[in-house]
Amino acid sequence: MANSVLTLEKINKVYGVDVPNQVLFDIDLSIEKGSFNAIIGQSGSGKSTLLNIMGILDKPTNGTVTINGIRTDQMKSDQMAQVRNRTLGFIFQFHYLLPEFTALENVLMPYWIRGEQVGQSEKQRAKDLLTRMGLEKVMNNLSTKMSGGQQQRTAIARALMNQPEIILADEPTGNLDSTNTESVYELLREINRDNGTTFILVTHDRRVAEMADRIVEIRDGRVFLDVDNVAQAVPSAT
Amino acid sequence: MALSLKIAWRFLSANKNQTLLIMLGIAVGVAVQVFIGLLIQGLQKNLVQTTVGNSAQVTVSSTREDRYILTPNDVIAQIEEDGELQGQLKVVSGVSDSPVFIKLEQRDVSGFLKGFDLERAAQIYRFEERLEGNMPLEPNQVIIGKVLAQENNLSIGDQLTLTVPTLVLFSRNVQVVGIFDLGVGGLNASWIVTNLPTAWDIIRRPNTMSSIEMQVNDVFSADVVATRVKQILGDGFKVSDWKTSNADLLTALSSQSVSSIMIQTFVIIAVALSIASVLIINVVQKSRQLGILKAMGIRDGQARMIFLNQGLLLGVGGTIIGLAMGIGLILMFTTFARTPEGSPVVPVFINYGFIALSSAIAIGSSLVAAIIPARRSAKLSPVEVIRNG
Repeated sequence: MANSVLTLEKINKVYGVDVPNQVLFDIDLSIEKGSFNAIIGQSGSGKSTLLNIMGILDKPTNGTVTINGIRTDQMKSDQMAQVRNRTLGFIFQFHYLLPEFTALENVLMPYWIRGEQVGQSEKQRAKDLLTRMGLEKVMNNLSTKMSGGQQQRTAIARALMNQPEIILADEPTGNLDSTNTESVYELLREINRDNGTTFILVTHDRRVAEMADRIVEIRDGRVFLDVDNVAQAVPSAT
Repeated sequence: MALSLKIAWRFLSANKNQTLLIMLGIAVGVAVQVFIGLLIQGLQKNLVQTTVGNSAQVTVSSTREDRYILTPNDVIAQIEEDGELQGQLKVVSGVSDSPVFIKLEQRDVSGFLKGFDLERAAQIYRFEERLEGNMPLEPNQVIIGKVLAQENNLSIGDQLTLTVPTLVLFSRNVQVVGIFDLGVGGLNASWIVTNLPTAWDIIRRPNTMSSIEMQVNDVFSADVVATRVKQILGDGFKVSDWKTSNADLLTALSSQSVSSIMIQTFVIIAVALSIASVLIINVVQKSRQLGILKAMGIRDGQARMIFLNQGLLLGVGGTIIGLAMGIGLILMFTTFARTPEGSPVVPVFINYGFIALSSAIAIGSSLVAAIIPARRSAKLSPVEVIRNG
């Protein structure tokens, strides 16, 4: 695909050496720039592993991952770190904030890692992101002094801080109630529309999947279904 | 502030008790090191000072049969004007001496007459500080040792008759004008100190010297100075130095230094091991945070720096507390451990060079101790943390 930002070719993943356990089988996927994708599947189907491989957090046993035309297996570790910092944004199932830092500092962290001076405009952007998440009152709290929902929304703001091209989210609303879930998805969709950010979401939530442009179902480590923009065609996801 | 330093600081301050404990561990190590180091140095300096501080450290004598140096002024000039010895010599002083009999009313006692260039000799023996009475500046005046005075009931103002054994028919009356205490029993019991003209007159060897005595600026270079003096003077002279004649003392001092260094080394190793083990546990404790940071794109080098900075911060913090404790202990020791006369048992010299070196070693060891945890943190794969929640 000419317009793809992320391409997977023949991805296999085997865990264990003595007792090998193959989780992914020959996955081919190409993610279009600016698209909103949902990856669904039962637990243990390999969807989170797939997401980690896409985000170069994990290495495939064989097969290649290409991000913006560059093969990740040919990248050095610092180059991978740079791609994770600038091109990718992660939202994890368990919010994973740094407990030693405040909400605002957690959001600024990707920018600090980037190694550039944090000026007033960056600080303002971080504050705006937190305000958009409804966290203006707790932004100076240590992350341990916030509710689960607040932490999760902080993690989303953090993923957006460096304005990455691709956001990878693993059950980003797994710990949120339905009102919060809806507002978070509306926000993600809005960012997708306004900034052209590509989203890849792993989810159990059928309603979330229905909002996506494209739905990929993983079953037993293989692509079982790959459909475009057809909410009505979503098969029964658990 | 560099990001890795900022994160290191937060990691440490988030876990205050653990941080304080490990800093105290380093501090105790540094304190022990500084205390023992300064104490041993003080002891040694004191010992050397007592042994050779107030006596000749290098002595030149003649190899002539009658053992007299016939041209002492030339010899002194030769030594003082030598380029290589410039700045090394504190004082060069000639002495004319001889055994003498002291005729008392009931009996004769033997003594040792020492004729000094008093101005120069004062720099070696510090008579003024140890003298009751006056210096023997006039002809036929002498000062005698405390023990000699006590044993023979002599006091200031008494007249003595001195006779040189080889000149039994010739004797000279002198007056005691002072009684000194050099702190060494042998000298206090035998020395009779006078000016050069009086000594020459009694010994009947005008303008000669029996020996030339020197004090050097660095007492431990006395042997080097002695070698050079021997080189300048050539044959006909014998040069001795305190180090060669006090070999046993030097062996004792160096074994004391070795044992002090051993103690300090093991303390530092123990401190380094405890820092390393705490930081290794810290990597495990913070592996979740490291995983998140790596997912956000922190480089392996930056991750390493977090732990090196933690080592550095712990080292610097522990060293500052340790220096305060160590110097405090030393000051307490010198304040409270006192001799009956009220002077410190061991006068301690605060050696800034040694303190700086101890601090550098402690901070350096903290950094070295952080290397293993730092490497581990760099190797940590983010997915391990992400996958295992």
